[in-house]
Amino acid sequence: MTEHLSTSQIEHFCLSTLPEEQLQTLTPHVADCDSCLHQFTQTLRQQRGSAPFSFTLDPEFWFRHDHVDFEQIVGIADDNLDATIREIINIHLKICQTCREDVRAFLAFRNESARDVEVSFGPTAYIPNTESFSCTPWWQSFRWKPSYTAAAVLAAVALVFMALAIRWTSDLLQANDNDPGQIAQASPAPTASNVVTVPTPSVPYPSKSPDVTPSPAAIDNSLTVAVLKDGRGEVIIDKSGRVTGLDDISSITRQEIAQAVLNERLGNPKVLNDLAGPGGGLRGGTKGEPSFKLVYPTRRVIIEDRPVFKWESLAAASSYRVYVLDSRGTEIAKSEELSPNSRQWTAKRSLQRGETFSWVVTAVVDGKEIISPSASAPEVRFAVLATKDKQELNQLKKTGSHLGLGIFYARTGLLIESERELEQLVQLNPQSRLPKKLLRSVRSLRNSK
Amino acid sequence: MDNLLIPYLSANSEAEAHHHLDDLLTLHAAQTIRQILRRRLGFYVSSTGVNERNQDAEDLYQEAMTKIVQLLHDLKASPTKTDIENFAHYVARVASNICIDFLRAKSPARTRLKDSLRDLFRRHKDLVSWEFENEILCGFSVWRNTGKTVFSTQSAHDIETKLAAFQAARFADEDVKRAPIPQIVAELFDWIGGPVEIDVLVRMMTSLLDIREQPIESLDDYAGSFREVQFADRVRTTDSDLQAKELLAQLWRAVRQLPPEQRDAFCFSFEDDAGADFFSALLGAEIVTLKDLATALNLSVEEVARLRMRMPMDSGTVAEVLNASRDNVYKWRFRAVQRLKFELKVEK
Repeated sequence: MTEHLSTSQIEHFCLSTLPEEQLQTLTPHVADCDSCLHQFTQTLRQQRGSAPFSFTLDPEFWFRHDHVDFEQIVGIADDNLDATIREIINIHLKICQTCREDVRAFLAFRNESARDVEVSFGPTAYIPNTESFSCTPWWQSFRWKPSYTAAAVLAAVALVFMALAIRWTSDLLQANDNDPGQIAQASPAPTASNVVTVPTPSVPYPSKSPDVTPSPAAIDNSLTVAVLKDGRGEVIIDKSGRVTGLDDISSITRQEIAQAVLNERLGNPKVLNDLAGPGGGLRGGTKGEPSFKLVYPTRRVIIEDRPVFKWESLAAASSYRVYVLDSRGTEIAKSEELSPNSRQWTAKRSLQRGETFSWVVTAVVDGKEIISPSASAPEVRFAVLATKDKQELNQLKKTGSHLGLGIFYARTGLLIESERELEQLVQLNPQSRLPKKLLRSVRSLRNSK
Repeated sequence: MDNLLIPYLSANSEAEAHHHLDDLLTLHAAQTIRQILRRRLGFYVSSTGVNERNQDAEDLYQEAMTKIVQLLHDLKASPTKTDIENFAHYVARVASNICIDFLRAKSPARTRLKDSLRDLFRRHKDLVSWEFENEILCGFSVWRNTGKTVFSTQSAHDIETKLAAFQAARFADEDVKRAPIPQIVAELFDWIGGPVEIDVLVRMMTSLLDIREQPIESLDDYAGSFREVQFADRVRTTDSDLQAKELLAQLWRAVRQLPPEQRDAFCFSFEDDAGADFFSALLGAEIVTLKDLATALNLSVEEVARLRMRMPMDSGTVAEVLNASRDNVYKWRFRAVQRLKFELKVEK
């Protein structure tokens, strides 16, 4: 290329708007030709005009257009970004409100869905249907769902079994009818042979029919298993374990509520097993001696940490003394010598929360000490509600939820309080079976202790 | 009427009019549109309107050009109907309006929902997404790698209509807006009965959750990332050619001292306040020649010219040119800017 560039070519060359092939051939000429190069630079200046030359090295400017993408937002949420990249993203976020909102919204979603992602979903099996859309009437949806087929088969088997049971063991059936736990075991459950395995949910699914009147729509569609009037409004529990209508309660309690509702029964509080206590052998007392009973607290969890110890009077007793021992048998509190009219004593200092204690009362009769409980009787133990549970209780009381309180009390071993709350829940929901079942469950627990 | 337009409007032949139209577009409109797209949206296109990595940018550039061409044709057909006193301002206005329309349609709230769903499909063991025949589908994990149902092919209106039935069937006694997103998604999948395009799912979720975009009255009112930000610590502003030349020379000397990756990441992205790329600024100020640039960058002059066509470049384009990851481009540019600030003794 030896010809000089035309003015138009120079203009286009300056603006880089020449076609690729022309650019390819003209560029070496401009680079080598002083005249064209001069014209080129002059034209560049003209095109620039009189605008002064200025620029910035502010990093915020240099990354102003580098918006945070999905992978980077995930990196922020997972906190696994390279330190420099994180710094650069922070630089951009300083000036980009949209990206700030993107990140905020994403982190909020992560937070909100943290528990929900643990809940299992999904059909038990799937036959790809790419031919037609299956928004069919509800009754047709039974046709394609293998879980319904499996359930129907198992239900039929269960019915046959039930009929046989009625004929052969009517007594057993009656017993089952009174025990929700046995009913639950009799319900059909999917087996590996008839369903595709779905990972175990973190919150158990109901082992029997939910506490709503089944309807075709409910069977097919609704995830709601219970809607209860409670406290200051309505509490809704769905089969994924989600509890709606009870704000400001801990995730543990929320999960326990879901579990109890889905199972329609209360779990056995482990702490009460610990309070049953073995038979004592270290205390005095023999057969034939007068005796008296300890009244409170006995084999239960208490909320207060300075309990009022109560006992029955013993005829002819001239004085009493109360001893409180920790779980290792070490004496941690002792009353003064109490008058013969005394029936109670309050500990002078708070007991350690979350701990188990035992206590005894000695009565002096004719100069001789009578101890309750006697040597042959089990220790009388009690536990003080743990600090975190006390805090949770305070929070729950603010909600006024009888369901929440009833389940909380039951879990922490406060069965009397649990029963009281569930009774109120039954009164609020006279038509619902669920509160009655929960109440029956807590009474069963009390009776077993 | 702007004098720039007179030659075109008074052209006697079609060929002459075409020649002047071409000049108006390439010499005057194109640069302005490129600059508006960069500043308003952060969209970079080459001097010929190309950005293979950003289809939106190319589309918007072409849309703006088409509108300008239409305007000029209309103007030539009836010159007295409209009077354009400043063609450059008119072009800038057309481009800005296109940017506003784009932002209105962009739906950041919907994008956020989509991000949340993508994340959900990564984290939830039963809900997944997968690529199938160049589409992103989603559904229950047992559906993975199967094709979509015809549900996705329905019109938006049809889907909208069916959603009412879905809501009545699945959330009759519950406020769907208060339900957990994973639950709603699972119910939708179960209701549809097969895989669905993720964009269709997003559209359904947007409707169910009644997600609305914030109205954008104008770009100036849009307090987002696309607003042009004023930066306080501008390095230098000079009215004197001599000072400008010295400043540029100083900058070029410092840039040449950078490691090659940092140097290139900086050079290719550079844009001065007037919107000029780095090579054009250096060449216009006669700090360097084409050969100097080629030597300094270890390229041919043709390669320099081709690079200049695409400059200033966005990070993705720089990454493509340097055959590097975008993260590396970020780091190189970040370090380059830090080092140049030190070398040029820029104070905050």
